Amino acid sequence: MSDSVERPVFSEGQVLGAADLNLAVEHGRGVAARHERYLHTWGIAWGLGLTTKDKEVEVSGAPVKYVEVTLSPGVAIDGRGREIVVPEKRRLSEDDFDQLNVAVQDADALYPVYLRGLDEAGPAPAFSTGDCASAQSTRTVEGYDVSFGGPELTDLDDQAGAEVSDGPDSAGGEEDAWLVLLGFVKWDKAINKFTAVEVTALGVGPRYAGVLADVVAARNGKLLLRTRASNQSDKPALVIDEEEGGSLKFGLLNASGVVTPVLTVTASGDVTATGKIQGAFDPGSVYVQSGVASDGMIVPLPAGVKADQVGPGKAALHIQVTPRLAGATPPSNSGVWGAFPLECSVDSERRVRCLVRWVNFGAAPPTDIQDLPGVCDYSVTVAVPASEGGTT
Amino acid sequence: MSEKITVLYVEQTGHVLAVLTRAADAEAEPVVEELAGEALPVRRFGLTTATWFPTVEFLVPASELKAKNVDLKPGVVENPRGFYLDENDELQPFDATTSVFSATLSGTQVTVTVAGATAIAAEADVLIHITDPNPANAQTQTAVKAAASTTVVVNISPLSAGTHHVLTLVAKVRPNAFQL
Repeated sequence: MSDSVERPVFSEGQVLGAADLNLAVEHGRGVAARHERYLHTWGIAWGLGLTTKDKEVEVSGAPVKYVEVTLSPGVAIDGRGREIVVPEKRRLSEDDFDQLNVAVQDADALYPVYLRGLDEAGPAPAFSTGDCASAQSTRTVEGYDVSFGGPELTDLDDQAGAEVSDGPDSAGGEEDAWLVLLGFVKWDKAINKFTAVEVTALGVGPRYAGVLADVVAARNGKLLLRTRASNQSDKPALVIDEEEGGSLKFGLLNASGVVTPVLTVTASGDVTATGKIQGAFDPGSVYVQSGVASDGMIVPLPAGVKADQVGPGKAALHIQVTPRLAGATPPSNSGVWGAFPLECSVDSERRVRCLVRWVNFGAAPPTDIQDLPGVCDYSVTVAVPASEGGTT
Repeated sequence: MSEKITVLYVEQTGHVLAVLTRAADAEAEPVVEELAGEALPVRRFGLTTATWFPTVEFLVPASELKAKNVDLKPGVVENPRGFYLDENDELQPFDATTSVFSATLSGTQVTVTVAGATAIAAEADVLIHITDPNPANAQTQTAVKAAASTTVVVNISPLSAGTHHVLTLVAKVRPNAFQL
């Protein structure tokens, strides 16, 4: 069960103990952790990329390539709301990886690289007065640790979380610290070196911190949502703007941070798009395609219509096929051939079944009769119901 | 009629198996699976009545096919199987004097023989599609015919006992079908 949150209260003449002062610090840490935990999603907030530098080592007289892997500075928030700060770049240790004994024989195996927050006692003061106990450290370093996992991926959301009122520290200490995925490395067991870095493996990659909110509000009538931390030209953005009665605009940003809209929806429901609108029909609209198709071919739907948009309860599909005999090539150049339509239809797949019966009238009575594949003229009409709109 | 035509052809050899024109959106990029489904049925194949099998339908997998919009050539709409797509993505009619002459089965090999002087002058990709009483044994196999030879041996996987039909496609040579 979660404990109630307490904060220290001080009074005139009170003799302050270490516990009182520590509680003041812990109260602040707890407030910050609960904010991070319940108003944000955990992950990397900034930086913390894995970079490589190509290297070579000589093995039995032959050069073997490997990479040095470096973690860039940055900040992450773990699942307990703890802030993890990597203040400067740090090279990943091959010895640390080797000692974990996670490597397998497969040279292409990818090993996850994890970051976790780790408190360490700071150095003892150089000079102090009082009893012996006062020589202990008066600082805690909010440090971090980089570790590696085996090639089998684990679900990082399954880590031990925090009770509602808890602060950022895990109950299980160092062993129970929350892991934040940074990326993946490959390992060469023969030379005990890293050989590559990958951002993702099996669709899993670093998670980046997010926001948990039921309401996102602008201060003054215009809300901008964009894909980059700073304004960058030609990056997509979405604007909700109160001007001109209210509108939603999507498009690319220009250098001044203004969206050039390709799609605008006004508060009155008018939609303006500079490109094609696909996936929905106008009620009562009709779409048509026509042409020539040979036996076996599936006749195409009109442009903008997808197969799952037609059928019972949706848009109605009408297909008409007519055998095309004019100009058809007879089975041979000798004889006097006549062509007769034998089969001309489409099946449930819209596949053309078209056969032409060729009869050689060069001999009487004609005995040379051949049924050969033919071509047909087709027309495809998709009619959208006027009443139900036909949207899918 | 549009100036462009969509052809469905065998990627390995260039043989056109089916065609389509579209009055609207004629140059939209064609997708094989939308035009052929999982496999294109090819029936009534053969150059003469002697090699024409009314009930046989070859199912050429979509994975063996490609679709492309190319410039329209006279005759291709009426007789798609009389054309192939060359290295420049241009439709070319087959030489009337060359064709696949025969195909014979021996164990797990099919020997394909080409007739006609022009076609045998160069190396050519060969693709055969064999039917089988057990549909699971139906298969597509490929080989390359040497320049100096009129025949090419194509290795195949074991077939069931019974009647088989083979669709033989040799690059730039009129195709044919046989009963093995």
